[in-house]
Amino acid sequence: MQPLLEIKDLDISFRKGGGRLLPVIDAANLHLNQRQAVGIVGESGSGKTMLCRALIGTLPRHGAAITSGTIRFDDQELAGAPERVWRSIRGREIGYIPQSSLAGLNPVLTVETQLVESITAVQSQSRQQARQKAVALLERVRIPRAEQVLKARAHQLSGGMRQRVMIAAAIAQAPKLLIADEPTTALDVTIQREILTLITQLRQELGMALILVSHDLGVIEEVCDSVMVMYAGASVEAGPVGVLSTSPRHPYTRALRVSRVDRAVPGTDLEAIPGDAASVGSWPAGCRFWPRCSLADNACRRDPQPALMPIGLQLSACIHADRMFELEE
Amino acid sequence: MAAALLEGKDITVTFGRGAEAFDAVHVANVAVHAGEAVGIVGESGSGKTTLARVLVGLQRPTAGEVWLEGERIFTRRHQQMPRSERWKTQIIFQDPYSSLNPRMRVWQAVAEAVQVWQSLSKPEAKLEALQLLHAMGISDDQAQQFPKALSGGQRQRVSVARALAPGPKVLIADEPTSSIDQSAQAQLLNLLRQLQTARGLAIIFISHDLGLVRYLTSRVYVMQKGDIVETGDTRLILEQPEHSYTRLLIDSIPGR
Ligand SMILES: Nc1ncnc2c1ncn2[C@@H]1O[C@H](COP(=O)(O)OP(=O)(O)OP(=O)(O)O)[C@@H](O)[C@H]1O
Ligand SMILES: Nc1ncnc2c1ncn2[C@@H]1O[C@H](COP(=O)(O)OP(=O)(O)O)[C@@H](O)[C@H]1O
Ligand code: SF4
Ligand SMILES: [Mg+2]
Ligand SMILES: [Mg+2]
Repeated sequence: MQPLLEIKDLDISFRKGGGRLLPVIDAANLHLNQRQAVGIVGESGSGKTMLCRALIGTLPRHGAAITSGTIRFDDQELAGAPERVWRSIRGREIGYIPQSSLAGLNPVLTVETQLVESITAVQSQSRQQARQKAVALLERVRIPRAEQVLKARAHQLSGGMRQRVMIAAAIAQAPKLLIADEPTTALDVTIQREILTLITQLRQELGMALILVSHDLGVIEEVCDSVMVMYAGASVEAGPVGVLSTSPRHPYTRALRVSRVDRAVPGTDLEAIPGDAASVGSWPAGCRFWPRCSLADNACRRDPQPALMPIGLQLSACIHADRMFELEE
Repeated sequence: MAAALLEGKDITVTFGRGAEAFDAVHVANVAVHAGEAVGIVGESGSGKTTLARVLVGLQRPTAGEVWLEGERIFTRRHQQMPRSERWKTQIIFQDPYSSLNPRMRVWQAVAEAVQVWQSLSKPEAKLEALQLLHAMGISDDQAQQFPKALSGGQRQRVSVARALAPGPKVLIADEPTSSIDQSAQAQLLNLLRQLQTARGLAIIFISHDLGLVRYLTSRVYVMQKGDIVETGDTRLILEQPEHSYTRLLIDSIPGR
């Protein structure tokens, strides 16, 4: 089957003063079939949000650009595509719910103003048509009394309601791919569940593929078919969800599981990954995880960041992927 | 048992007027002792954040009183806490985006909080700020940036450093870990536990993550529609909930 999205060895840098480039993503890889859902997990600051921005062509707004690699989406090459192409993709083919979306609605404007704006921004149509469409969209995201909600201002809505409005805006053009960057992070658990159910229903109704960024492995296991793990700008592991949780093939993925609080005994310390998080501008030479990895040896420190290689049912960017069993539980 | 460090007595917060009036918090009683960690759980809109805001004086209660170290500090009429006391209670908010000044470098935001409450010179305050940030996994490079150059999870960790800067006696954390990865979350929880045992920090931990609440807290309050419907030993309540609502919350955990 032809994949919907194939990201290969993507590199992204911030443009700093004096023409200096500051790499933030180096070797991101992602494979997504039509209608499938992939989760992205990873260290905070590893570049998940920047990768999402690359997929809707907004890197320049954040002072960054793709320096190499490819993004193949539905038979089109998007890496280096001009703004004209992005305008036909952004919102139409790829919908986006940004990470800060709960803060993203303007608190003093009405839902109508903001939703109608996001509809007319993509399609020229009369206000009346756009308004009808907005009502239909709110109904589609299961908002009761849609007419009333249209007149509300964002600050009058609960977090769950606001997130529904953001989802409505993102799916307005029935995109082939929806990107949701931590869509439930700021929501309470019962609302979180409703939003995840909604996203899953919409995927089925619209035949959408999904990229879901989340720190909650439970959420990803529930919603996604596969998962990609990022560390310091690189994809370090990828594969089917169940397999990565039960038999991770990269020490970082494994460490995520070990740090999980639901396995911890109250009153004892949690097992955090030793050492400092890798920060942009000071990635270590060699495998970027080596200063924090108990399997690291001279080869890990000497050779460049390992490429993703198949092992068993998944891909791993660790030269010792076959030695994972040596790590103690 | 010794007197509570921070206590909310019969707190009610009514929003709206006339027919539209409703109690976001209804006659709620909560207390936390030095060195203790208590949890507040409950679905969205149940009043957790509103109650937390009352406890730190950001929201005036319609009825009830807040007591700190045996003194009444907030009531419906009286919302004044001496400035010199305000460092004692700190709050970390659910939303990391709106809580940092975009025009201040990260270390400055934390150093400011250090300096306002502790009489330190500027260089001393900077050093202390950098140390706190480092404990939260923020490098010196990142500390030099403005908030917009930080990722969501990094910003959340800066907010935590800022709240811990004055060395508070009570920390109220409103959903503080959902935007950070598992390992950073473990780091934060270890730090909180360390402050709890070494310095007697009292913690009120509001979270939708019942696993976290089970790990960190010894007592828990369950809120529903403004009422505290169940309270007691965390493990007992999460394992044998009496209230059907608590059961519902437990069943909503993803991956179950
Ligand atoms: N303008 C900038 N200049 C320099 N570094 C930046 C800038 N903007 C972002 N960064 C850095 O880029 C890195 C990647 O950020 P990104 O927002 O993609 O992280 P993330 O993986 O989404 O993290 P989180 O899980 O915390 O949301 C971060 O380390 C951040 O500090
Ligand atoms: N300033 C306000 N004006 C009117 N209603 C409010 C205000 N702040 C909160 N509320 C309402 O009070 C209720 C409790 O909210 P909140 O304390 O934020 O709940 P939680 O933190 O448990 O999700 C909700 O119905 C919310 O909409
Ligand atoms: S390549 Fe070496 S340092 Fe990197 S993750 Fe694998 S074992 Fe650890
Ligand atoms: Mg992010
Ligand atoms: Mg809240």
